[in-house]
Amino acid sequence: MKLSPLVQELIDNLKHLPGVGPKSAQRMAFHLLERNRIGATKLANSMAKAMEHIGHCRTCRTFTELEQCDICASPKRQASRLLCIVESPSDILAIEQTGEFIGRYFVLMGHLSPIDGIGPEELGLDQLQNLLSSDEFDEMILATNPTVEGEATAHFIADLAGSYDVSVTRIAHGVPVGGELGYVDGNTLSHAFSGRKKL
Amino acid sequence: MNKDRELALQTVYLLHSRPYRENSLLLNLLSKDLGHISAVAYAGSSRKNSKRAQLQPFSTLQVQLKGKGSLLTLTQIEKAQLPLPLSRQFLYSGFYLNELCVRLLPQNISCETLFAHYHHALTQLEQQISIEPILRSFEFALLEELGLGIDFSVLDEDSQVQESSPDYWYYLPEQGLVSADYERSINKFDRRHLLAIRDGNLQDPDVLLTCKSLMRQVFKPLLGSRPLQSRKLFAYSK
Repeated sequence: MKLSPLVQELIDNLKHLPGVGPKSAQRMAFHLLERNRIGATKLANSMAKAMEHIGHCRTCRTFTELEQCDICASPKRQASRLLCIVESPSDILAIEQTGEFIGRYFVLMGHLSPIDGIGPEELGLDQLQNLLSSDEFDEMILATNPTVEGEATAHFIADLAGSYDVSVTRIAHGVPVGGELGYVDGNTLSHAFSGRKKL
Repeated sequence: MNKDRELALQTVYLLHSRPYRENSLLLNLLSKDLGHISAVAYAGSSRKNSKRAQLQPFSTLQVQLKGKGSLLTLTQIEKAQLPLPLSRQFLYSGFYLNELCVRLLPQNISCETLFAHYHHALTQLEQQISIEPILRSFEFALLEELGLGIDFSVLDEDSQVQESSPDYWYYLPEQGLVSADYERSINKFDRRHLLAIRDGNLQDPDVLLTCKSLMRQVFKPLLGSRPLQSRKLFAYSK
């Protein structure tokens, strides 16, 4: 059976979502058409609005429809003079949930990966240098992922920051809270040992 | 139906990985027996049993692979050594080696000597000794592996035939070293430097410089129009 062009178009476009193949797209399309037309209209509207208005924050590069995101604009966070470098906007959410960190962020939107064609320019490091030269920060915390690429990115940024008056720190790696040593992989465990703290 | 072939345990280095589907990774591996291969690995959805932590570049892995054809499946990691603690330029050099391999090495052709050279280069990088000679000798090994090794014998022949052998040579793709019998101001190499390179004497800074520009010229046509990204890291950090 051939579907009418509009239905087919809807299914094809749903496939743009991550992890959605032809079968899931078809299921979603029929579900929305059969059961939830109001919800689907809302989704379509907010999708259209988001795509039109959301851009990047001019200081930290996270997604926002404002010129500067709320975190960057907050006077309290500006006063803390801390800057945290993360790979993606979802990392900001994870850190914010802890409530530990009161400072500003800079989002790289990826990590250095030469083979994928991601170099210093793609990570907005020029923008980061501008930010550091503004003398608004005392400390820069590198919170890139603990992978080889994330580590390379951290070192690279630390080298860049050498010419600015800012202390550079790296988040610790180690054993998860509530975890058992026997289940932790050797790599993490050796990091935990090399980064041990004095009590 | 014959089942997917289980291969013997392989010693590999991860050259590159990228996400594939929700929970899998598409890997470029350098294997001792199989050469440059592609494989899919299910990395697991939970963090606890994830292979991601072990699938990192610059560590020797013992892996179980299965499948036939060009895309294999990585079923198990038997043993993973800790990644070599490379940092800064040494790490960027590691990326450079990986990028060269991924870009130039044809897949599924055994390359035992190159694997040994790769391993040797990484261990040397870990010792944080001078980078340039390490990279140059790996580049030579890679060229040999590709069957594009530079023929230095022309230098000898020439010196026996004529007394006034030319002092300068240049490199032409697909032809190799050609004596510079007419005035060329750029891209020519001193014969003494070339002889030192042939003999593996890369200590002299001038020889190293010659070797570097020779390698640039040799690799340029091989790499095509897409420049090597890892070179940018060096440029930035200087």
